[in-house]
Amino acid sequence: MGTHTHPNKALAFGLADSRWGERILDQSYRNLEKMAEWGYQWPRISDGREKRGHITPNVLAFLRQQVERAGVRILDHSPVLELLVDDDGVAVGAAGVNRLTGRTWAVRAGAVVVATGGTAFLADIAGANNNTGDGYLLAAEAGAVFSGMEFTSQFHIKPHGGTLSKGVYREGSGTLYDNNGNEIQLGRQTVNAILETGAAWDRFDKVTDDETRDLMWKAHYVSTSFFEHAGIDPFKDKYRVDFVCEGSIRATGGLAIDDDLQTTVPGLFASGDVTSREKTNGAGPPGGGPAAGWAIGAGTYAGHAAARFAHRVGARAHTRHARPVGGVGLRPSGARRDDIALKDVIAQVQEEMLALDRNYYRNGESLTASLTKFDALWKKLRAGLAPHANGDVRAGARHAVKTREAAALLAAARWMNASALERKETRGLHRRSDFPKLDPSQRHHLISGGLDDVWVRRQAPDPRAIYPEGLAA
Amino acid sequence: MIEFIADELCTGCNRCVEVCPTVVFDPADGGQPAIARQEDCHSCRQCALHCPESAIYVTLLNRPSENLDRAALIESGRLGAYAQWLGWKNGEPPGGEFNPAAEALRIKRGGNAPDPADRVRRQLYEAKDRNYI
Repeated sequence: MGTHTHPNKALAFGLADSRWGERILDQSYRNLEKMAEWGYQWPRISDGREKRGHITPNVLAFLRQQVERAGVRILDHSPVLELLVDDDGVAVGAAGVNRLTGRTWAVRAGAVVVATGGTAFLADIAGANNNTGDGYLLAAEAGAVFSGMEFTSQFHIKPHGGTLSKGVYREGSGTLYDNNGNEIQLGRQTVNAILETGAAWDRFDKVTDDETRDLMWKAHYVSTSFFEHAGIDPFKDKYRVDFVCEGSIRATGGLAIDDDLQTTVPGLFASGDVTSREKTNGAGPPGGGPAAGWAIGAGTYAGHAAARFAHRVGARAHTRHARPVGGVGLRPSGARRDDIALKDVIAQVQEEMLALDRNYYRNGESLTASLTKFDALWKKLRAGLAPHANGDVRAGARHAVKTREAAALLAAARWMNASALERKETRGLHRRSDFPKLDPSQRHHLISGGLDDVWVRRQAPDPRAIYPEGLAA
Repeated sequence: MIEFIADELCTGCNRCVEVCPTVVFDPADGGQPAIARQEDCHSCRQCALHCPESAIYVTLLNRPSENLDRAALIESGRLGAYAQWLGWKNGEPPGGEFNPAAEALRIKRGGNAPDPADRVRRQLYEAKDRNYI
């Protein structure tokens, strides 16, 4: 098995729970074992041991086969648009559209699991177009709340003009430079170089022999193929790098969940990057091991708990009153407006959320200004945004998905920036240029929520949690 | 960014339409699917992996390339390079004796465990170990 690192307890900034670090890594190992039992052939290292945890598209293809083999009906190309809720506020199903046929679908269920991922605000990175935060929005409409939405300012290195924000390939190979040719380190120095000198550059200086070059190239072909496509020789020439927003995808904020990964809505469970990952990673940063552990292990908890919930509901699942609760972008509160361009909505959100000087480094002034802007934009969307009904049903279905995604980006940005404004310190993935130091008195979680009126409140750390020494709850 | 479907290789099976997570393609009955929404492509390369003929060229660039030499790209095997690296054949993931990224590991290891005295290769090996997950 690979070497999994527990999140550095000091780096979790006093908001991670040691019990969860152990629990999730244990579960992820069990699940990788389960995959081997199902017949997945993990690669073997030279001494014959299996090398588990090498997650590639092949793993996704295998897991899908298992789901199909178990008899599960998969609705491909059928994004969810909204949740169904009963008179007691219990989640009882979901509804959406098929983007290829234009047909709508609705599913009644004993329990619902939302696993839609985080959001990077449609940044220019592979994966971002499927991570729009739509799950946040539909969960919030059912009454779910969030935790740690200020810990969502995750940015990462990416070749300029490229799409893959995966920095592993250059570790041990590359040297970073600012625009004046001075050597810099990966992280804040890279961001500062871009902000202060105009650009940052990378070159694989540390690789000097052809053999190592060949090894490195082929071992990381998932990333190094970029250089083939771009016609760049990174061993010889400096190539420009960006520091790109990954938002909440690799961060720790998300839907607030209990020990069963149930949201604050009965019957609505959550798994993966859509949840808050503060239990394992605190304020961040997102370690590879625990983050992958959460991705691999969390579904087991959510799935088991959802199954138990559904079992208690029993046959009532099909008779409960089901009310669709989708609002913004689906059911406008006023007259439909045709002058709302989704492109402009997305651009306005991106202007705040993708900018290094507003989101990597945050400050009270720009956060306040962004929230004023976002509130006005929200009012406009809530009142008048709706999918267009003219023409082809398939185009209509695609447009419905896009309206919800644009609204979800805005909603996510509001919870994030409202939380960021409330936390007047720098901690983990939350960096305030006006409060550059960690303030021990702010060792609490920030719970946020609300649609028309966004709110944020403090919550003390879990009294049952086990924290690093010297940080007793 | 998806660049093109090679006319001379595409059989019109529409597998790419099925697997694309962002509905980039419009299907065609028995014909070649159309790249209808290129701007929605985010380079996940699922279409290239699942294409039985390796007929689709997807780059890791965030915008379309200019002046692509299609014939040279097809000739060079670039279209199927990623699928081959992951061990896919004819649009299918590796099967029974499947070894994901075995090729990369084999090359990385040179077929043997790294010599403890070979500092560079050992570091690569250990770094890869650490970063697998």
